[in-house]
Amino acid sequence: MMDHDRVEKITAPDGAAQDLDEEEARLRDAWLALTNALGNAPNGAPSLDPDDVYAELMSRERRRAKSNRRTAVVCAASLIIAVVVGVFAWNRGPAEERIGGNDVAMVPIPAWDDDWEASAREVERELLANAESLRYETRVAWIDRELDFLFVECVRVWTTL
Amino acid sequence: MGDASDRMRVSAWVREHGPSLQRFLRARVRDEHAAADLVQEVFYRAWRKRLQYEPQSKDRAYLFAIADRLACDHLRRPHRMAVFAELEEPAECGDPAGGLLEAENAALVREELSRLSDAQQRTLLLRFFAGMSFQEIADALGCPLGTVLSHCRRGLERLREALAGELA
Repeated sequence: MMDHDRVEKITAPDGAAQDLDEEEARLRDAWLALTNALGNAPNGAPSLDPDDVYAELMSRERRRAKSNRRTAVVCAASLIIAVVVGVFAWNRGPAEERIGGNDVAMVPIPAWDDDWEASAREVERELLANAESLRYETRVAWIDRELDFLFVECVRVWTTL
Repeated sequence: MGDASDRMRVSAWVREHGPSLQRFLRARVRDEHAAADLVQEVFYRAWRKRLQYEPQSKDRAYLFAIADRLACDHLRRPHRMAVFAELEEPAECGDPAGGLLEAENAALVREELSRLSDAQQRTLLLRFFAGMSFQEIADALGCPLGTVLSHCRRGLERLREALAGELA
């Protein structure tokens, strides 16, 4: 390991280097040649104006904040889209199964081999019984279809009679 | 975003360290335009990390450590190397003959400097422009103190050998 103090002395500012031996003096000369060359090198760049530098900092910071906001909006929108698509895909299968799952059983139609008053009363009782049993607060597709079927049957019966 | 104290701090940085940062970066990257951009970048990064770094007395070392890292990143990119001596113009001087000789010697020294290893150049430039202690340079370069001292001494030895028969 180099002697810290010796290297400090060799590279010390002007006038601060003392008690140098021959080898150190030669290195000191090289250091001074370097510092002269670097110190005298013309600075071709325009001098910096603190206000300009600060204005540029603020401008860059605004651009960065704007970019961050845009990125956040894009991420949020992507997340919302992903959630919507996921919810749609998740609910799609089970919903269809529920709608088509319950087949409506065929209601046996009474034979029309008796006098029409008895048959009509029988149909009316059937309708009333079914209407009571089908009275639900929520709308369910298969119940709607059942009601439609019964309604058509009623119309057909009454048209026939 | 920024307040009066920030503005004063940045202004102090620019006034006190701006010119030497410019020269340091110009010597490191050997490209005047790139050096100007990097100086701006140094102040921006220093300003953005101002809350993480408070000690005022170390501003110079702090700024030059950032500048050194930026210069290294810049030099790692392709198509960045240029000839240092070509960018330097002769210094203005009252005595034309003496000034020319001095300028030639300075150009020679800078040319020899550009032939040193990267670590030797960084050590010598940080020591001169930033006035950093060798321990601070070691911290900035991320290497042991002994290595930094060795870089400095070997760099000076190589400069001395190269310039022994060249300087008028």
